[in-house]
This record gives sequence, structure tokens and C-alpha cells, in this order.
Amino acid sequence: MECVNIALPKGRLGKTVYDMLASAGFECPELLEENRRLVFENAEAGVRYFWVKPSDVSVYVERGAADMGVAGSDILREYTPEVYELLDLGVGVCRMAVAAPRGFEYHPSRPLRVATKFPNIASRYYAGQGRDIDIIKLNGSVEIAPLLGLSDVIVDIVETGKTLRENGLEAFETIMPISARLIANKASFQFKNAEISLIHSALKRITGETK
Amino acid sequence: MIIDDSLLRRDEKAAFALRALFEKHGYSRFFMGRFEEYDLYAGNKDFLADDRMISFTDIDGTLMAPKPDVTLSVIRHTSDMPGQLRKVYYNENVYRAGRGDSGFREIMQAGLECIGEVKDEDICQTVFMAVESLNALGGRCVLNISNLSFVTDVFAAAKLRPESYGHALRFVREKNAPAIRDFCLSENISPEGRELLERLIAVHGPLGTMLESIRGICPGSPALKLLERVNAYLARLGKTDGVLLDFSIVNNMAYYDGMVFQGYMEGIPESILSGGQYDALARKMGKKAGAIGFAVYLNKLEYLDK
Repeated sequence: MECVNIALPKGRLGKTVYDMLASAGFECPELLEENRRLVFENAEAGVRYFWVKPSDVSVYVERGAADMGVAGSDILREYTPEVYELLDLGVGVCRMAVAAPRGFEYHPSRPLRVATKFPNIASRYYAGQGRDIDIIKLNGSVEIAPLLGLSDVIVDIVETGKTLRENGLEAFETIMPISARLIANKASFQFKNAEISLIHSALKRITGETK
Repeated sequence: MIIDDSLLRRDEKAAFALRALFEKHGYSRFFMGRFEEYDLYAGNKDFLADDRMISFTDIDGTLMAPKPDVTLSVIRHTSDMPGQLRKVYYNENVYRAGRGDSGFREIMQAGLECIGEVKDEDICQTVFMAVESLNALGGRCVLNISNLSFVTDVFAAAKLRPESYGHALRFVREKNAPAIRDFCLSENISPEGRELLERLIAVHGPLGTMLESIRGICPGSPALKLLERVNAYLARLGKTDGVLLDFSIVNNMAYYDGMVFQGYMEGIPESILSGGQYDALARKMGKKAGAIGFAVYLNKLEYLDK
């Protein structure tokens, strides 16, 4: 069996997914050791893991540096990488929503100002509504934009809504639900099909049990 | 003059090998200019892999473009000849935007096109030529085959609304089981319909074996019969190794209809060969002809230069 390269998102989600993979027999214990290494291999189990920035997972997989990976459906909808999206892992569950200061109303005579880290998702959403918008692309702390008058609304990920509430905002439209997905490179799917299918099936069993 | 082929780059060697293969099987070389009128591409942007292209104003004021694609030029410069089939090949450079914002690139492409009265036998032979083209490149290769008409037959059997075919096709292209589940719920598709779609996206394996496994799905479908015919043709020539049935090859249905295929080579993270029947494109460009062809993206061989 060939070794399958798997890109995991750094952080809590990546660790949760690694636990799922480990319980399916694809463990690599040194991955959880406190050190600064980024690549870990268990040749016996046929897996090599990489920790990468969550938004880069799909890039590694699309370009074939990783055969498989775990990416949020927000990232997959934003960047639309040419990959297979094999499984909803049922973790990292949240939603993409439109939020604004409480009592917000659309201004009738000018485009809606939308601050977001996800300009493609926001553009598609408002295009579907036929609404004219002005997209303001930000890289973080999006919640502050309406408070400082930079935007009317934000399009962002909402998990519990606590950050929004603490900043006087509320989510008033849900664009889509989000969760972590198992993805695969299309060429790897051809040449490492047995190995990828094994991991896919094992995770499918586990998600079936945990949902 | 004897040329030492160790002096040639990998893509140059492949171009010679493909040219020899195409000539051997009776395809004639199609010569074309380096530029076309910009309008040819602007009017068919969805057919192109990327709608960004270089443009310039010619000395007579006409807006021109260095070719971003070969197929459109071949169709444009081929006249309708009722009852006949024109079989041509090309080896051309095209100019396309690189991924992301990495600027325009010159890309070497080789391929073949059959335009005119395309019969089932010609479709079988084109798939055979795709298999042989991959073999000519050396290395371990596979060819994935699908039939878009069969995919739409399954959509109809699952009782999808025609206006939602576009969404469903995207999920088929991604083998996206979670999205199919959500789609079926939101579209009120029956459990039987959902099962059909799930079976469709799970198909991946040797053409003959997979055709057996889907025999019960839309059994009367002419598209399925064509896939069976291709399998029999390849089997007769002993060329079924590495030929897989996989319905996730979804080209733009405004242009492609019927058989589509994609080739992969080990060590290259994306498809190196792509093609299919594009009767709809030929019709859109005012031709009465049928058309099938494929391109080999020789620039992608550079992935093998570690």
C-alpha cells in the first residue's frame, strides 16, 4: 500500500479530525506531541500527516501536495478548488450568516456595504437576491466593520453568536450551514484509489456512529 | 539528420510521439494562424477553461487575440461537408492565464478533432486514440470515461427538475455525497431517486466491470449502449487496461453532450488529457456537423521534472 498524504487544518478542528482518523486505525501518536514539527508519518498505517493553515488545505490537495485533506465547506465554497468532496465529517459545525447592528434596515438608495473574509460567497449570495453591493474584503476582526461605519453588514462565520452579541451585532440571515469535509485530489483518487477508499470508508463508519 | 532525443524536453518528445501516432491512424495536420478575432472567443467564453485572454488591435483596427484555445478555430475553419468526416490533429501553442494571478502562459497542446458525420464507430476510435495518446506519453496513465447523456438520463429517472440539473452536475463533478443528500432533501427527491444519484457518484472502476454494476440503472438508455459499445471496441483491441468509468467528468453542458473523457498520469496532480463530443458547440457556431476530439496538455509534463 502506498502512503497517503493528508493535510490537516492546524488547531482544534484538525485535532478532532485526527482523533477520528486515529480511532479508525490511521494513528500517528507523535503528531500530538508538543513540538514545532509539521510533517508526521506512520508508514505501517500508510499515512503521512501535515499541519497546514486551514484556508490552505484545499490548495495543498488541489495541487496534489496532499492526496487528501480536511477543509471547512466555507473555504470550499469560497475558493471552489477542483477536488473531490467525499464526506461531511459532522464536526466544525457552524454557519455563514449576514450580521448587522441590532435594528439594522437596508438603505434604499445606495449599494449595501458588505465587509467579509469571503467575497465570493457574499457576492454570489447577493447576486442571487439581485441586490447591488459594495464588497469590502477584510482579513480578520470583521465584526468591527459596522461599528466603525466601514460597512452596513458583515458576512461571516457564526458559531455560537457570542462574539456578535458582545459587539452589538446580530445574525439575521443564514447563507449556508458549514462543516468540515473530507476532500481528495482528483489525480490521487485515480492512482491511490484503494488507500483513499479505505480511509474514506473508515471515516464514513465513524461519522455514521457519531452523528 | 539524426536528432539525439536526449536533447529534447519531455514535452517536445511527447509532441513528436503524438504526431507520429496521429499520422499513423490517418489524421491530417491542421494548420492555423496564431491569432483569431477576439469575438470568436468572447462569444464562447464559457467553453474556455478561463475567460481571461490577451487581446490586441491589429493594423486594420480589428480586435484580435493570440489563441487561448484550438477547438474553436478548428470548428470555425472547417466547412460543412454532408456525409463526410474530417479527421485532423494539431500541435499548437495556446495562451492562457495561469492559475490565480500568475499571469499569462504559453502552453503547448496537441490533440485531434473529428468534425462532420460522427458515427458511433468514430466515437469508439476517438476514445481508443485517447488511450493510445496516454500510452505514448509513457508512465502509468488512466482514462476516465463518462457519458453526459447517461448522467441526464439518471437525473430524469431520479425526477430532478431540469432547471436544477446544473446544481446536481456540480455535485456529481465533486463526488459530493453530503451535497447530494442536502440537495435531495431541499428538492423533495424520493429515497429511490437519491439512491440513484448516490450510485452515480460512487461509480469509479474498470469500464467493463462498472458497466455490469450499473446495468439496472436506466437500462434502455442509448447513452449506456454507447458506453458498452466503446468497451467492446477497446476490448477487441486489447486496450481496456486503465480505462475507467467515472461520471464525475462534467464538462460544460452548453457545449459538450454525450461521451466525455479525461486522462491522468501518475505524478501529475491534474488531468493531462481532456475531451469529448461537442456537437452543441458546433451547432452554436452554425455548423450542421457533429464533433468529437481531445487535447493533451503537454505543459503539464513539467510536473514530472522534480
